[in-house]
Amino acid sequence: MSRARRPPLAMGLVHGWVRLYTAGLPAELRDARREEVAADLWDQASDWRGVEGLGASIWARWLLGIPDDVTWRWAHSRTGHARRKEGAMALARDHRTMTIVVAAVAGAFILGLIALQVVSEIEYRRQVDFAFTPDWRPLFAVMGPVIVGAIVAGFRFMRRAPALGAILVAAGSIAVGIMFYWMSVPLLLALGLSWYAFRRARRMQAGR
Amino acid sequence: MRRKPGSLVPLEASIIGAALELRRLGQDAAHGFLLAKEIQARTGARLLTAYGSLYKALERLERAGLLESFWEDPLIAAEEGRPRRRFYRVTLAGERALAKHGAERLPMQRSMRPGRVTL
Repeated sequence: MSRARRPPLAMGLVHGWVRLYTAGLPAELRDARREEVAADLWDQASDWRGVEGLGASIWARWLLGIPDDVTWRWAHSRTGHARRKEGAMALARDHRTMTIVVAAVAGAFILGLIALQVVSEIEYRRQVDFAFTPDWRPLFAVMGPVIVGAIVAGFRFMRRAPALGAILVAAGSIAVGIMFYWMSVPLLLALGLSWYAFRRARRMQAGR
Repeated sequence: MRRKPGSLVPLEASIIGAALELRRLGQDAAHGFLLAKEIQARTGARLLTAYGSLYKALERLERAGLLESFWEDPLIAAEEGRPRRRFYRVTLAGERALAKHGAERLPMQRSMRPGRVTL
């Protein structure tokens, strides 16, 4: 192409089309396609003998290639979408784990306050009424599901966050031991369960 | 429709064939327009391969390991006052795939046009 010759309208149109269908793609992919087509257009124009037919040839190459451009863009958008989705899922998983840890700490704190209040109340009642026998059922009714929930959640979290899983299982199991402190079996069971949970988590991480 | 791995569609076979022909003529690696021109010359088509079809096929061939590409030195392009070109070179796997494609097509051509097969 003579450098002074004005490029046909079709060239501008192809440039515009390439910019349009590559917009929003990763920079490397987008720039590579834009640069490659720009070089092709330049080579075609400079190779063309005379002026006649160049515009028509560019129009034809552009129009006939549109379906492939669209499917190419669609395929790359899908790949990019899958990558973004995977990243968002990882972020959501981290966010969920953090939420559970914070909720567990906050829950334990609130339950501790409730238990303290209940024990103070019982001590007060005992001081004023020596015949008073405390009713532990409400405390167990609240603590029971929480403890069982902690153990179950601990096992569920083991694959993704082994340390968190083992801590939840251990906390739940030790709580069982404390609530039944007059029984040595639950405490031993709690320690055994925690040890098993920890070993299982390590095995799961190693993929065995 | 999913293709058999290593099999080529006609455009891909034409691209590899054109690149090998250009190599035979001394051009070790070729850019997109040169390939399109060579394909037109070899097939006698009236039109050059469409931009979209050509670059999509080139990307597919590169991903399959049948072609390898590299960008030319930006200084050369800047000196000549034109956009940078991307060059493609046929790999050994590409040569094998084309040979396999030719071997697969030959019996079909024979059965379609008995006695008029040209290589």
